[in-house]
Amino acid sequence: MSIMRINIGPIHPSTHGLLRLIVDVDGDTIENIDTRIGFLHRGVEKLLENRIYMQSPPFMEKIDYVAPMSWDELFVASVEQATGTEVKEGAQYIRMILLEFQRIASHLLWMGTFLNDLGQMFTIFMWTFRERAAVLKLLEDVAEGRMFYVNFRVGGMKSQPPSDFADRAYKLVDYLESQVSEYKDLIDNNPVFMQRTKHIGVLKRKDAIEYGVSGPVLRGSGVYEDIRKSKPYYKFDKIKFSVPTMVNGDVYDRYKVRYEEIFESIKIIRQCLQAYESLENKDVLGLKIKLVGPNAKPDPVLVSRELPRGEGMIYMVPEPQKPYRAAFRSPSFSNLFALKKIAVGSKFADLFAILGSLDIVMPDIDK
Amino acid sequence: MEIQKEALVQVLEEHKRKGFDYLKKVLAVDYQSYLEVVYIIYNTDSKEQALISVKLPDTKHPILDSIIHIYSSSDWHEREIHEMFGIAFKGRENMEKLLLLEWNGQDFPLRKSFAWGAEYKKKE
Repeated sequence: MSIMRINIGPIHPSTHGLLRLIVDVDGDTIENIDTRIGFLHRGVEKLLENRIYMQSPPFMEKIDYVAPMSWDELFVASVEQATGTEVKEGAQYIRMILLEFQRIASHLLWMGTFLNDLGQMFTIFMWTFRERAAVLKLLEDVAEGRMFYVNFRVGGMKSQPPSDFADRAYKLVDYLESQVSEYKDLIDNNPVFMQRTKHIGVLKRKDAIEYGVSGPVLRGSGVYEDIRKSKPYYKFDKIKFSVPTMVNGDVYDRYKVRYEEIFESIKIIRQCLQAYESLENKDVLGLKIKLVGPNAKPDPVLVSRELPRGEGMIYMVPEPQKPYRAAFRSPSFSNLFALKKIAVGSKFADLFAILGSLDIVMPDIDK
Repeated sequence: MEIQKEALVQVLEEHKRKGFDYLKKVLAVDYQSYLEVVYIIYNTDSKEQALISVKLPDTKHPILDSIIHIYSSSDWHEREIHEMFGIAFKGRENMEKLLLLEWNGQDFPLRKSFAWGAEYKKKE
């Protein structure tokens, strides 16, 4: 049969942003994919070079609008490392709690849109968004922003959490635990979902490593790799949690890893809340933003974090008050690169199940 | 670890044999008198990380060996560095623009010599 070329995007509801795919199909089978990115390129790395350190977090948050806090924290952490600033103990726990809540919110959004991609329109989506709204409400009260927060400061946080924060956080994780457990009945026991995800879009362990994917995609392929375990930051070495991994590397396994991660995040939050409550000094305030902040040492710094989508990394060559160069490793960039490897040979109808399972965010890729 | 650019392929091949099977990132920095390319590689079993950097003193026509045959994931990273810093990579195909597909500027945006505010035309 002859090859037919199908153009998808750049504006398309299933690409979750501006992404163009030129797909060659032979009948129903994908023969080749040409992935075109760059439609959202804003040159954030260059913009950072012309701004003092604390002018940059608002840019960093727009790199990943689904989990803005995580990129914000990554940047502030690299500034802290460059300037040699210690983070207050209380602030370390609060950061861990907020970042895990951010991970839960991000996974919940992904789960809803992923099931939309599979054709289960807006049923699960309504459920996950209800839970996500509860998380965002708490984050809003703590970080004083609904979608973008800019609440990390060098050495700590912008403001002290409200007095009822711990109570509300405990209640919220209880609520999340009971609600998210219910999804299992709706998703895992759904034969249509299983047929559309099991043995679809398989990425083998060897290929996952070779193609440089990270985060849940890598763990779904059976690689035990989590920055929180392999290079613990903050107090992650004192917290008990496990890293969910699967073996097959198909769409279902990537879903399952994220699903289980929500419960691990809940475990982490509970332990951090306990630890924070038992602290004598609950002060979390960081340095105020001033025109001239602490001076950075000139040695390059490299900071890695386990973001909801995979490993985020900043390599920064500092000047005293601003970055000389800041290079990002964005998780979605490498994950999308593997799309061609995963999807070639699959059926065309499975393309968006595979793309959805990679959980990409386009501004993260285009920078 | 800093190495000579001629030794790059050999050093990375050796590292890969030793178990550094995962390429995290390839990045470049423009220090004006020279360019530096940094390879961040990782051992997924022993959880070790290594940084290998190469200096390119010729900033007019910088050229480096491609490592795409060692680490497939370097593909997009090399293309990005090519368009942002003008570093050419020997021994690979498809050096098409990646992020700046529709941009027709002649300068390289992440070089320090890049003219801010200059007007560039969109490709016809």
